[in-house]
Amino acid sequence: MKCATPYRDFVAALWAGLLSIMLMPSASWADAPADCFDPLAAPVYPHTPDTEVLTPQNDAVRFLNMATFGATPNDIGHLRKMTLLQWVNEQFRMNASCHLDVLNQTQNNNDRANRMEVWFRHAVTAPDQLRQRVAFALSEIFVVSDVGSGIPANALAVYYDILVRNAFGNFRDILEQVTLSPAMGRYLSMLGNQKPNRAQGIRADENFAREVMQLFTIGLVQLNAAGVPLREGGETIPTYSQADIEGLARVFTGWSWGDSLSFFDGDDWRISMKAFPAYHDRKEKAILNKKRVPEGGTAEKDLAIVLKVLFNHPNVGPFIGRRLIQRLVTSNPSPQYIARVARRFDDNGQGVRGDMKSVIRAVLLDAEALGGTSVNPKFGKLREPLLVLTHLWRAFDGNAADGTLPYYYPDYTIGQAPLSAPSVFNFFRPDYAPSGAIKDNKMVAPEFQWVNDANNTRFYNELFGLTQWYYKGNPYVDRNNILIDINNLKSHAKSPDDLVNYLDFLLTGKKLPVDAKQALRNYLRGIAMGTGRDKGVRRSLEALYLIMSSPYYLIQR
Amino acid sequence: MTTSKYWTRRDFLQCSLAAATGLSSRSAALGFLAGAQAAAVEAAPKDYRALVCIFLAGGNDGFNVLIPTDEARYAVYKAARSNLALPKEQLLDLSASSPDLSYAVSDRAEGLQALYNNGRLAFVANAGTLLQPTTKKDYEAGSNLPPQLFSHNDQSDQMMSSQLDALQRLGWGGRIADLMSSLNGAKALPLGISVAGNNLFQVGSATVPYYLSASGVDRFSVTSGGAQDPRTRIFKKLLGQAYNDGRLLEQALAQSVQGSIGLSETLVKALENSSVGSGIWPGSYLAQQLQMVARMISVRGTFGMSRQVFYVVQGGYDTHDDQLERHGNLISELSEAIDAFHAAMEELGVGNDVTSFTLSDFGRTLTSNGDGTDHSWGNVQIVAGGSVAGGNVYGAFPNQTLDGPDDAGYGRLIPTVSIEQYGATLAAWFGAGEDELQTIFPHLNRFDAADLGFML
Repeated sequence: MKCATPYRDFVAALWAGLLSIMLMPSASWADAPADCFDPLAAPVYPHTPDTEVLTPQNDAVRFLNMATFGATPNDIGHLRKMTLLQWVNEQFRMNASCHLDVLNQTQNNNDRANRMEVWFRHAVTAPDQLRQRVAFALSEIFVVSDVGSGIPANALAVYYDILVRNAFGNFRDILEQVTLSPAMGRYLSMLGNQKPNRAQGIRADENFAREVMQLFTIGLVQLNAAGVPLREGGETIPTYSQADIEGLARVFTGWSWGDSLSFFDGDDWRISMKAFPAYHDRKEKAILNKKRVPEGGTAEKDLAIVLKVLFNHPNVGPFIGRRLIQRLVTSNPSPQYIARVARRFDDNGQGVRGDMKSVIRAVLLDAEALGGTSVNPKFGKLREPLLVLTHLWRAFDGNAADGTLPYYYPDYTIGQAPLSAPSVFNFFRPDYAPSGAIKDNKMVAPEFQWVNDANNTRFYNELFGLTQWYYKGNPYVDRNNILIDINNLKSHAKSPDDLVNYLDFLLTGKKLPVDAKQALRNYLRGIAMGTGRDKGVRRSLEALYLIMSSPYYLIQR
Repeated sequence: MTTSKYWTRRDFLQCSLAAATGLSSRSAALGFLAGAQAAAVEAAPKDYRALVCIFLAGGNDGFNVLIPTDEARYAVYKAARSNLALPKEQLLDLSASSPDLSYAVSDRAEGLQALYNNGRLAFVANAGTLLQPTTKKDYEAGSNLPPQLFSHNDQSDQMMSSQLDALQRLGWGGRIADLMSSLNGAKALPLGISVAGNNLFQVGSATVPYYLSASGVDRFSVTSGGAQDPRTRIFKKLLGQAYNDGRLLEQALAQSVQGSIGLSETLVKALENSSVGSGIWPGSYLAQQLQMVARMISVRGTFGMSRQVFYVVQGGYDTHDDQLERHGNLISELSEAIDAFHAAMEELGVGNDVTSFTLSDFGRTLTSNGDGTDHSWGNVQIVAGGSVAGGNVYGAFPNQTLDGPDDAGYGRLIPTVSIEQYGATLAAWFGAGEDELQTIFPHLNRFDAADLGFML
């Protein structure tokens, strides 16, 4: 494949500069980072060179369902004019839409409902879809949650923007900024973690030390380049011991609020934690793989050593690669696919490790991602509930009259809300397998951890309401609600055949089996077209619900 | 094992699917088997027993719930726990079973104290994941230890399953359901019911639990027109096609949704006649879940239930910081909820038939990390109900001396009782035979007592 990206280094430098500005204590809630973009503005696509290799229509739908918050007619049309690589590179060049900036424009930036609205507004309308989609995936790996943690809404937006800004940056920067963010500091109690004091019977807090290895970088056992656990005498090999955790816990001592003169108070969530030398353990510490952090180092210096060791561990590529593939593409990637992504993590082709652009290209443009079940029969994943709603509103232009997306309580209606996982283990564990055929075939299906009777009922009912009631033109709902535009559907409604084909194309990329389409057509024919304002409405709405609620849509292949 | 074929939810689903849409011969065959099974359960015992698992998510600090108060052991406790030690004058005394070994509970646990002193609650001291009896020497040598000690998800998995192969894991609540579902009648619900979402504890090889929310069961909007409504039929037809086309992900989703629809109709109706007793319930989420359990138990007759296993969760126990405040509040909630639940069980006439018990990821370090604790191993578990031989501490209370014989480091106590012994004691009361216990708990025979004696 052709097409180079000459400005990669320039962009990386730009990010680095912006990030250091963002982390300076002088920032206030109202300051918008220079690179943040108004998600309400219409998408402006950069000029794309003419090309002879266009993306076929159905491939475009499939691809956009992996790389964005859901395919839309406009985006499909745009992608068809170019290659997938050109589209990805175009996305890399787009400005970042940051959440805090928009949250600050609401009446209360510390209201959880506003945080939800701002998240949906970005997911549904922001032009930098790939960045937003990757940031969401990262938020399900580097988990911080408002469940049980007391972390305020604006602090979570600050945290989310770290992921948004660095989605196309370097993994090393993500790791460092996440580590030093007060939201993560609070969530995994590194904020205020102090050196051991034998007299008082106090040890260093092990929480962050454990999870940064188990969940954010290397995992529990040594992996080969394809993510397969290495074995010695039949047994897997642990990546670290309890003693390593204890050493690492002492490395992560001495960090507290960036705005404070005292180790024990402060409350500025906008800036990184800072080191308080008096509370940092300067003794020698044993960490991973018998490596040592020498005596006498500052908190900053010790942290740099540890992040370097973790970042350079051979597990990170396959470990993070598999997680990104699972979030964006498929639940059961082949080891070869993981290995190809890991190779791009290890080296972007220019000797740079951890280049997220290189990793994202490898994840999305891999032959397995593009070929689907024709390459790997196990290909596919259950759509996350949030991604079903964002797709609905993207494909059918859902919004309130003022252009916002006021959807405030997704946790109650669909059982999932951004930055609201029940624990650091996210909504779904990467190794979750429901019992039955999936488990018997040694497959996993992480999103099925959400599937149960209670969630099924509320999700199917919520989708029913959103598709049958909340549409533009319904005289009984007011425009403060998110309403979908069904004019496109109504224009197809006269022919149930057309209607089903259009929805099948737009939602699944033509994955509905013939007999399912036949059954749908027969059913829709039995619904009267209606007249006047109601003409075609019922057929459109019912077809929409029946397809979006069917396993053929909810399982993304 | 006493029978070879069980009436499972899967059979139930396929049977009802076959009846509703006249589908494949495979379903019809299963329906036939199910009919034969229904005839066989006529002889099932008429008694009722329920186990209620209260999972304390995050790792409960059990050694700040049950505290030794005799002078010698309290001094050791106080030294080990430093700034987390609860002052003796704040503790609530438990009636002593032996003069030189006395215990108390934390001042936030009035309900637990009352149940204990009434003989309806017991503690099991220092239970944890073990593959075999393990000494400090074994720990230091790393010989035959449970994998991934101190890790949240791995240790909670092992508490719930005691099987080590990740992809084949079944929960011990689910394996009880596999083996004992045949005791329930032909119209039975799944034996396992979760009010707190998906969990490994209830995963069986042949049975799938039913999941409801703390607020109950809703009907499906799309099928609200009834079975003959064309929309109901097209919706179910698409599910049925997806179920039968052999693609595993589509099939698994369709199967789950089909089950949800079938059971929601029946349950909504049944729950209209449910009761939570006349007592006052606290408002916590845990209490709401237990209220839902009480409602389900109150309508057990509608479904001919003879055995049920419930699952509820109380989260927030990962108290790495601000522990004294946070843990105190959690224990207060737990204590009130358990107290209200068992009072309701008495009122519903099943006081002796329902046993609640706790599980948790792991215990917590006795030592402090400043204002909190980290992940540990052995822990104190709580069992309550009219059939509990209460007012006693079971297992071997550990020596809490730091760097002592039971300490794996920083007050991480090496369990003196296996979680499999704990589970087996409950499963035996539930009616599992000796062979079944060995199937459910694969390492049980490595320990000298299969029954810890805390059930009457």
